[in-house]
Amino acid sequence: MDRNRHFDQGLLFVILALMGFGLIMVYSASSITSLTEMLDGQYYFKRQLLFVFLGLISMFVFSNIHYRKLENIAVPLLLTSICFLILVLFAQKIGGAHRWLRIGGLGFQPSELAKIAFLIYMAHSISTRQDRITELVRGILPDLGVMLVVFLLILKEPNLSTAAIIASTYFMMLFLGNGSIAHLAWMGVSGATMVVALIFQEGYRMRRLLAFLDPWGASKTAGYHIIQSLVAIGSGGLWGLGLGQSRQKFFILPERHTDFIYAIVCEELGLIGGLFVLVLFFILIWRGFYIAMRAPDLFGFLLASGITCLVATQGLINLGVVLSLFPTTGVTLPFISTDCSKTEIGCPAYNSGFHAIGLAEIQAVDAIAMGILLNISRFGSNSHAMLDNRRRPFSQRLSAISDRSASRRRA
Amino acid sequence: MRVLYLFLTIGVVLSLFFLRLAYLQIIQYEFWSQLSEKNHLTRHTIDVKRGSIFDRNGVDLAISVETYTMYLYTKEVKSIRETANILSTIIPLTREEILAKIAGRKGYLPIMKGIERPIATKVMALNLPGVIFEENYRRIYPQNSLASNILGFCGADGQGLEGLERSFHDTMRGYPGVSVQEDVSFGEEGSSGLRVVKPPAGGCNLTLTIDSFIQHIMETELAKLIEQYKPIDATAIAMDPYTGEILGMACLPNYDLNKFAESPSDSYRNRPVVDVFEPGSCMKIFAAACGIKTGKITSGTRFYCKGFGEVMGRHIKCHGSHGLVDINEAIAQSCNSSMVQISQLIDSRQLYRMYREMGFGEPTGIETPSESQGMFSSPSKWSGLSAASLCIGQELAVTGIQLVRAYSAVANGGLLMKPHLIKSIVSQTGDIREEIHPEPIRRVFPEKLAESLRKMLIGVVDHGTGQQAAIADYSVGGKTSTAQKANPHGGYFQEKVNTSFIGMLPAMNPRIVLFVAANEPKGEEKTLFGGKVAGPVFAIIGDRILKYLKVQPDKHPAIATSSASVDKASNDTVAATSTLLHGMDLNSFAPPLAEQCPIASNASSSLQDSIPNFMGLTLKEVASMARTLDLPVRLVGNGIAVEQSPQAGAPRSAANPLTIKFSPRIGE
Repeated sequence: MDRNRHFDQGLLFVILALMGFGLIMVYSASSITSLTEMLDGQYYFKRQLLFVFLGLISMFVFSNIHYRKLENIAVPLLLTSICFLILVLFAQKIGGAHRWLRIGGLGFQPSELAKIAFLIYMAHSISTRQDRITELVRGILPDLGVMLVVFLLILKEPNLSTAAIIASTYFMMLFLGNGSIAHLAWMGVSGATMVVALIFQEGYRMRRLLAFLDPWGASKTAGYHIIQSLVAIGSGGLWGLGLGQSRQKFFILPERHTDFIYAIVCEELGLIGGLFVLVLFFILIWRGFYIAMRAPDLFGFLLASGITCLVATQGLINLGVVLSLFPTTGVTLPFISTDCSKTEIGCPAYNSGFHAIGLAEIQAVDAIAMGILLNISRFGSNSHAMLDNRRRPFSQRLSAISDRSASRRRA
Repeated sequence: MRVLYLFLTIGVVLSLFFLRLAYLQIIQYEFWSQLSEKNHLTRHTIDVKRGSIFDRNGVDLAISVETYTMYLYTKEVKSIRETANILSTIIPLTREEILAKIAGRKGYLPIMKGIERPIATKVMALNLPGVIFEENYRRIYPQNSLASNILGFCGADGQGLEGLERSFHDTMRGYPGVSVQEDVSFGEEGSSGLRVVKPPAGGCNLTLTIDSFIQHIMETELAKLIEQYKPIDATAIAMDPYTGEILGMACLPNYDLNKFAESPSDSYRNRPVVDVFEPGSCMKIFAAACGIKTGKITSGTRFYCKGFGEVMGRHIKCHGSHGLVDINEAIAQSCNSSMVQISQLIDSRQLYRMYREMGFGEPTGIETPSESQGMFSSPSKWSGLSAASLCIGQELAVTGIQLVRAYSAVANGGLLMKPHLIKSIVSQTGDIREEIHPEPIRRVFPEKLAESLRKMLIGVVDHGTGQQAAIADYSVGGKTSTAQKANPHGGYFQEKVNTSFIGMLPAMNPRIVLFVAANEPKGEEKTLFGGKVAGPVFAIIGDRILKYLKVQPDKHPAIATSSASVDKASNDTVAATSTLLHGMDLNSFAPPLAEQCPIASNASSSLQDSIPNFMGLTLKEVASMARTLDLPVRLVGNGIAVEQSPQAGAPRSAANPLTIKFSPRIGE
């Protein structure tokens, strides 16, 4: 296999642009919180700087690890992360949920590790199951079972948003991995029903949904968040109030430097700044799928597109929430938001290394995913992976995919 | 192809996001940015306390002080007993009293009202949990009863009920303003973003034209009058005739403003402005003025008094038989008979117009509330007796302030001034909101006429009915008045009189016009004349006020020694030389700096015999004076007169010629 020595430079550029832009916006959005809570206006900025630095290192490391080596550790990695997911349920509750696992003096979130492990496993599993992928029992159910285990474990924490991201990523990977449309439809319907049921089950989720449907009906309670987000965005206008001139960051908008940082971006930089972020994400997703399509094998294709789907899902959910197109849920904007806020963690030991490592991990997961994506881009052929099957061993399967889709179209 | 589908789906979602963004930021921009503004503005009210009242020298007459009401919020109090213990050491309540106020109740309990600031700050410094203070303002009148008739008072709810407190309630009360703070400048600057949206209105301080010392003089002297004659009430007004500023306006009985509820409400009103009375003889000067102005009376006109005046076959009694008098003498003796004759000389419409012009029957516009305009009917309603009655000050009712205003026109040379009590209105931040300047209403007679009227008034004090109003140091011009009060059942009471004296001093160059009146003085009937009752009080008040104002005594004009450095005002040193001038007639005295020299025709022979003192006069003044006196003078040098030869008091014949040396003024 010939090796393309270069990264996909477009992707690298977009990642760096998002991270740099994120740094600036975190500085602006968090300065007031930092000043009052930490008595240092640059507190969150410095931390984000550290995380970006660690993220860049891990991205660099993973971009130099051959992605196919990951396939070898797919199963053990998944099993390990499932173990952690079980363990975390017995861990101490922090901020009302079992999300943090303490190992020695350090802590991390197993669900973040599970995301990566799950992606690698699914890329591996779907690619090796291509011959029986349309069969329900042998092709779908094993993976669906794995997915449900991970999904339920994360849901148990509880962390519905991460669980839903895992589920939808699986859904999209199966779609790209030639899953049967009928199965996918069944999965989609039952998945949506499940999410609705889960929402009705929990009081706070229900309140969020109602607030989403009618924010002004609860403008002081559940709707407050949504309204203040819209106030921030709407008051930005075309050009924004100017960098650093946000008014909503003065204790009005909650989660201003984490989940709702995009609202501050739109307030300070207006429609132009908002469009800038949207365009960067669009390019990122485009490059991600481009790399996936040029991947030399189906594992690479599924891994690359899975990573892209993961980042895209997170980004779209976050932006949708901020724009009040989705109900409020705690998903950060990849590369731009900083880590969870102090209140969410609600732990006095926030400053300790315990959390710093765990928080770095959250940042690192996206960076690692991007590292893997960059690594895959190094092996991309000059022609389309799915169309060019002359030199690629896996491309025969790929041609089968295209043949199948072509025949379905004819039918 | 599925990749393409997925990618397109994501692309569609992203473009939906963009449309949503554009919708929010472009189409709904106005709506959201208004909400954003609102979010970041914190409203603060700016409280303003009621404005203070100062006298012309800045003495506090009415001020608002912070007092505090202390509450206990039982929920936050840790230990009620302990808190009560601590509080009892500071506030003037015992532990038991405090506990009794709580009486086991819970909630927000008032403990003590009207706590003074120092005590409140002491308690606040302790930072006791659950002890809460509420700020109130209390009106305090530091001078107690001084000028109570003018100031008035505020009710418990801060509403001005009487006097200036009432008429300037809206000016003095504070309307809380609103400021907003934009919470977008965080950090050390603190409240730098404070922006006043609605400035606090009102809360202005009043500076009065009243001089509290003059007011005090008047009130103490009136108190003595009350003591002696026991009238129903006594009033006094002092006004600067040139500016219309009321320097003092006293009326007794007065009351303590801080305890107004303890006094009868009858004592609240500002009698010199609210109460009307028949003025009596003091109106005669205006009848005379009318006669002179219309040319019906000249210096040659003579009246014959046989003890009564006759009109329409009825006799109007005179208080003596004055025989053949001219107008000066008629006024000096307050001759009713002459007045009746004047009333027959002049046209009643002209008399009506004269009185109207003098401001009778029309409110003066003074700032205290409920001013009455008096009673003065038009000639169409007059009877045949009316003109005669009006000439002796009957058949019309006036207020004290109207009289003072009319006399001020005599004093200042013929301009009717608007009397005023307010000098300026200043905001609490020191911005001058309004400054009240002298406001002439109209010219009522020419200066020459005013001057001769003043001379008539001097005659009253000099040798007429008002001799008891004379002051040793100052010349006085004025008019007595003894008006019998009208019986509601017709006619007049013999024993009930309104005695007053109104005059100006120094007589020819008046600094103040002063009015003193006593309503129904008790005593032996024969003695209850204006000159007797009010005259002496007038003299004392006038003397004290002029000395307080440092007016140079004009009966002992300064004679400077040969040195130019001696101030012409330092008259003590010239007491000896002044005896030389004793023979000088008052009428002929020329105030040193008067524009024109009014000695002219009336200069009596005694003056013409001796040489006056020219010291301290300017070249122009000396020349003018010498010309009127028809003295041959030789003027040497420039500036003010420092040396004259022969000396003042020397016989006129010695001036052959009179040599006066001038020296430039010091500092020129």
